[in-house]
Amino acid sequence: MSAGTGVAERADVGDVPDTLYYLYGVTHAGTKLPDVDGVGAMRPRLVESDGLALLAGDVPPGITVATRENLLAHGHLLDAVAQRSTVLPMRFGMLVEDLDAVSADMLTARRDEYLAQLDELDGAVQFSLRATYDEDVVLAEILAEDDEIRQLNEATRGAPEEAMRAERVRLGELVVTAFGAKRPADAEAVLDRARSVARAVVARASGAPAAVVDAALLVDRERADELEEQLERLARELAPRIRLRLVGPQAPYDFVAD
Amino acid sequence: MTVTTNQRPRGGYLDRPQSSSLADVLDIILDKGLVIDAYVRVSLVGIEVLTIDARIVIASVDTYLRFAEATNRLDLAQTGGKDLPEMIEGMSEGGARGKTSGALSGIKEALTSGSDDDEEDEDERPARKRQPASKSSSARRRQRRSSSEEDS
Repeated sequence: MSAGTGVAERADVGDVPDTLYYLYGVTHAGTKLPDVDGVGAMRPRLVESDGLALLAGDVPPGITVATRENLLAHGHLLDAVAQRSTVLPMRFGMLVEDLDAVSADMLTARRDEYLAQLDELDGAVQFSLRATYDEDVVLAEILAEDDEIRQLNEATRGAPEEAMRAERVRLGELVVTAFGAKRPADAEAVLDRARSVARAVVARASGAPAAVVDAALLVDRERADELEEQLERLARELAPRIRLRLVGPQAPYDFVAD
Repeated sequence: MTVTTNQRPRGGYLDRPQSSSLADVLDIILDKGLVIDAYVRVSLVGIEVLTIDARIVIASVDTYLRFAEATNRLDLAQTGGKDLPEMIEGMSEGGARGKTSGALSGIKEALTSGSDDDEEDEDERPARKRQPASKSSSARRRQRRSSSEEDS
């Protein structure tokens, strides 16, 4: 986040050139690109340097990058590349004016680092797994287990909406806390199953009360079907308390070092 | 019920969307991935602040009140009386699903498309674009902050 702010201040200084390029990531030179447009509906290309390549695209002059369409385009393009090739994805919004200079600086200066990362991620893709409590099912569980919550529920139920606000807030807080108390064990069960197939698993922070766990999974391409089968089985076991959502394959965002 | 893994996304227990939604990509591509500091000409300050706001909102009085309401609404006689197989049938294709995940992604989508709108009014260059976006986001932040101060 602090990097973003610094960039913002810099952008206010000086004049803006007419030609800008958007950066998607770093990959091996010669990577076959999918038939997919990127940010600004423009087709990306490779800017190669000594075995490495920047995945970059022209963008229309005066483009507004931070739009819903461009967010999706960035993600979809990198995910499409990652289906077949290894790519180190960049964070959304990297716009540069001199591609050759960036190529020289980044690819030359950090060559060993990028090659090592590409090598480490070779053959793998990322999946995002999100496990969520079914609110009604788990609320019923919580009510059955906790006397104070049950009493507050009975006291506030049927009362006019403006009445008993403090009690309602307390009830909600206790319920949110109760979800939190259930989370570690349930999250661990989900992560365990993910680890049985994935090369690596990273749990992401999530603040939503009904969230069980949100994780990034690094999975060998050949084991993607196996992952899906395992998680389908797990989803069946966990129903109806917990739902699982699996998105991917994606570019390995969670497994590149900054 | 016959479940095969090829038969996605419906039919199985695993929610398996064919392509990722904005909510799916937003956290990842704003927070994760390689960064270069030099040369970057665009700012995402507006969007970054908005996603932080969305996270703050999650742990708020509003959230507590929403869960209190959900608890009040819960029909114990019905839910408690069902056994698991019946419940599974009852929740197929999302009834309850929309409520939670929808709420969060709803916030995010509103925020993101909101900042689109702000910026599309402007036709100038990227460097100048952020200003309306961050102005409007801090306005929104102020609103939200003041309402939660009242609450607590």
